[in-house]
Amino acid sequence: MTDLVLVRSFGEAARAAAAVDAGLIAHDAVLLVARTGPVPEVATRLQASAAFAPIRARFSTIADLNDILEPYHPLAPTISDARLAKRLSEALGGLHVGRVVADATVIGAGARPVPLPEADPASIVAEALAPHRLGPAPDAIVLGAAPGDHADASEVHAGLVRAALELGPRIVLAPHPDAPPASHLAAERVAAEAGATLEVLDEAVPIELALAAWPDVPQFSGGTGMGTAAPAPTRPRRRGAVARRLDTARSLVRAYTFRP
Amino acid sequence: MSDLSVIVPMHNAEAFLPTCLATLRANDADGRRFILVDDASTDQTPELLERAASEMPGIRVLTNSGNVGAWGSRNAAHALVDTRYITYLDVDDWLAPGHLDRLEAAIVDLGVDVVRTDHVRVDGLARTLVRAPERRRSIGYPAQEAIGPAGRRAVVDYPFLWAGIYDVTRIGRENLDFDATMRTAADRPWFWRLYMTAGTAAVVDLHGVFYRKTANVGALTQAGNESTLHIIDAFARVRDLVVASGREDWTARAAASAADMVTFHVARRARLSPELRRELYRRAGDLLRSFPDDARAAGVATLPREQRAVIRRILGAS
Repeated sequence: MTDLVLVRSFGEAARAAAAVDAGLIAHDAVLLVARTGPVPEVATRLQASAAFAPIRARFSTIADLNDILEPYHPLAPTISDARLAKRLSEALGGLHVGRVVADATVIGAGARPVPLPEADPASIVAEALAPHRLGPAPDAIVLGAAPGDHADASEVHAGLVRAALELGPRIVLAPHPDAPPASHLAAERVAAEAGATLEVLDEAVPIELALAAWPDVPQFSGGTGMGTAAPAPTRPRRRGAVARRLDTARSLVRAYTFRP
Repeated sequence: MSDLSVIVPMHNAEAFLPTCLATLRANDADGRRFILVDDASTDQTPELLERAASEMPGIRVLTNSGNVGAWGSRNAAHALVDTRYITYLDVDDWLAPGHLDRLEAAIVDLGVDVVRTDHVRVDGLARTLVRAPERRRSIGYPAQEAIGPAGRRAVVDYPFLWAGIYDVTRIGRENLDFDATMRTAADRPWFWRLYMTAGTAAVVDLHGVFYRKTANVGALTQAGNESTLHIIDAFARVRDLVVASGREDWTARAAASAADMVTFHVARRARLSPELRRELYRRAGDLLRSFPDDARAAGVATLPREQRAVIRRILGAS
């Protein structure tokens, strides 16, 4: 019997890897990676990121849930549990699945997953960060939202960047992996109009890496449930206009945050 | 080396274009052309296209000086095609990574004029696999068999341009253009002409096109507005084609399809205003009466009893 560990983000994957190190998940477990955004077919595969290397090293097998469910969506797999079990079994080479470990219930009504253990992913994140060169710390980091539709992501990002510009002209935007590609264009315009520079973090660099590289930089986010992403802002002593802007940004994000 | 052009018309598409471009990147190949037609957009579409063209060598951007609609845009793209094969994509839809490689391989391997595929209809996160109405898979057959006898749904009734790939050299460049005077459903007569005149056809089990049902708010079957009635114009074009062909079986087949379409819209008449309803009955009656009597009778006879009753009432009214 082999544990099946389901993750939807780098944050969850790093926690799962840390749980293997802590002995909470067996070394021969299978890691099942899912993309759960509105258009997963165009989303970057977590497994394709260089940051995935330390996670890959901790599991016997890595499988892609979207490939297994194709063409259905992991959050709405309109196939029977029997067909799902057959496809899983084929994809995993006939392995007998023991526990399903997951923070989400995305694989069939029959699966009763146990939650992902609370293991500190800091060492995994540090290992993933080592080969990256992220440059000097910016004035603020904007953590992108995961909106439900395409028009909204741009507005959310633009609103957050407008708020973040109160802290300085050097802003890094880390788009949510499920956000549509180039949903940062409106935010770029906002930054350009303010004479500021907006660096959009490469898709291959998970948000967690940016947060680990620049631990003291204030963050603007909408609380998208991303792994280790901290609630915004991390520096509550900056009040006044900034706080008001943050409230605006938060309510914007609340209005647009995608809830499956 | 790819020998395929992908034609993507768009108007004010900034909300969908980034996803569309990502899907094209995930389907890029040496030699593959992406002809993106900007139909006089007034949003950020031109800037997004310019940026994309600088990043992907296969992209050709064609900008219409005035708004000519999706059919005219596709026709304008036809003039730029210098590859053997073409396919189409709507800007709000997307493809599975590598889909175009599999699609192109299918037509190269089968050596037929046209290959059609299944597709996936997307409604939020829910997805439905929609199969092209043909049981024979991955095997070439005479294209005329895609029309089939009256009373049986066949591939000619599957009017999804993007669920297919077309061999320009076999079909003939002169047969590519759409009737751009039509507002909607120009693909209906286009597919009829294609299957009437082409040599060979096939259907394969691919389903890599994701068709976004909800975004398409103006879609014919959903809209309760005047454009609903344009489908009648589309079937009038089909009637012209089959009558000109002199094939009585095809004429009966087209009459059956026209009658089936009419009953479909009559069943959904609640969406129409009283004025549009009267217009539907009048124009539907004109369309059906314009078919030769024998062919109409033969076609209508293949419909279920309830539909025949609707057609009798439509034909009785004047």
